[in-house]
Amino acid sequence: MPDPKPQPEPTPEIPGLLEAACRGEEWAWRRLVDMYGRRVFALAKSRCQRADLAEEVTQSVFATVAAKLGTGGYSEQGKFEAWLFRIAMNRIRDEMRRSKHRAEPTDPAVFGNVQAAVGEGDEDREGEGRVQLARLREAMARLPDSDREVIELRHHGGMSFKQMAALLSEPLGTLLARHHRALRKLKQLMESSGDSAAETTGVEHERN
Amino acid sequence: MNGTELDNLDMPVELREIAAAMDTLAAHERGAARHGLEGRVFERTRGALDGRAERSQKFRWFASARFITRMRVAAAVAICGTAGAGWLSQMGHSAKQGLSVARASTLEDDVDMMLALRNLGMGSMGERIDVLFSDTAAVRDSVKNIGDQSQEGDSL
Repeated sequence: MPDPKPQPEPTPEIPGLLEAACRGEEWAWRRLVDMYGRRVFALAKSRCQRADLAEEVTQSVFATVAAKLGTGGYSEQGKFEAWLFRIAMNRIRDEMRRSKHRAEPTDPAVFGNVQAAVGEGDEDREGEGRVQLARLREAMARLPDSDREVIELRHHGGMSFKQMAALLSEPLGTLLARHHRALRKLKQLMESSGDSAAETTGVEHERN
Repeated sequence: MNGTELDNLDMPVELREIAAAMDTLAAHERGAARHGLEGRVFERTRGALDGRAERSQKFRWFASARFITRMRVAAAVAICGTAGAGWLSQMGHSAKQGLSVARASTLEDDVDMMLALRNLGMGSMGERIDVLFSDTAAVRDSVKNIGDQSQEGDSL
């Protein structure tokens, strides 16, 4: 059963946790990692497509945050989430640049090979769900960077529009419009890939 | 309109399905991590809270073999360069001194030789040396006169 969408934590808790973490209290740091760890991981996983790489990125992000808290370098009062996810996005971009020089991942789902990702002949409900997710990942990979960024911060990162506005330095209304526009493009890509898949399946049936 | 109101706005009908699909995908991505992700991240980052990681990083940077090797090479180059420059400058000074000393001894030796020849009373040689000396004196005097006359001319 996948995790439900994380609900935004009560705001008053964060400043207290940050103060305690800055004093070196590990229980507060553990609480922060528990609250944000999976969200940062999901953001990284959406880009890297590899769980091990996404965990490396997540660890690197939290190491940077801990170092800043430990040395008194944190000054983003009231904007911790925006600061955290800014670090995460920069780290992910660095990793993607580095990954261009590495071998490409071999997960078929990444290449959009939906049938290979699911397994031929798998027609049960779970298989259909996995097909849908694979198609969605493929469509996400084809989105322009700016559209993909908004969708990933909103859904994978679980950020509110207000937090995203602080992170991206954009007005709330603009972000809302960007989000809707990005979802529309994604929907069109899904529909066009669905048509292509249907045509391919039809051709295969004719051959058989 | 504040952030909470925006978040609670109804999604346009035609986008609800794709938004729900994205939430499902995001949940799957969150669940794709190996069990115990938070514990591992916590264990590997807790040291950074009290600056230990940063201090140890700095120490590792200074202590790294590559850094020490580069510093040694740089120090050796600087020392050799300074020593070499000093040596070269000393050599030039000595050479110059040697040259002037060599020239002076040659001139003095020549004069001594001429006087010695004169004193030997070698007939025509001695007379010729006298003429040479007197000619030299005449030339010196004439040069001096020319200089005096030019000064008088200037005053006019």
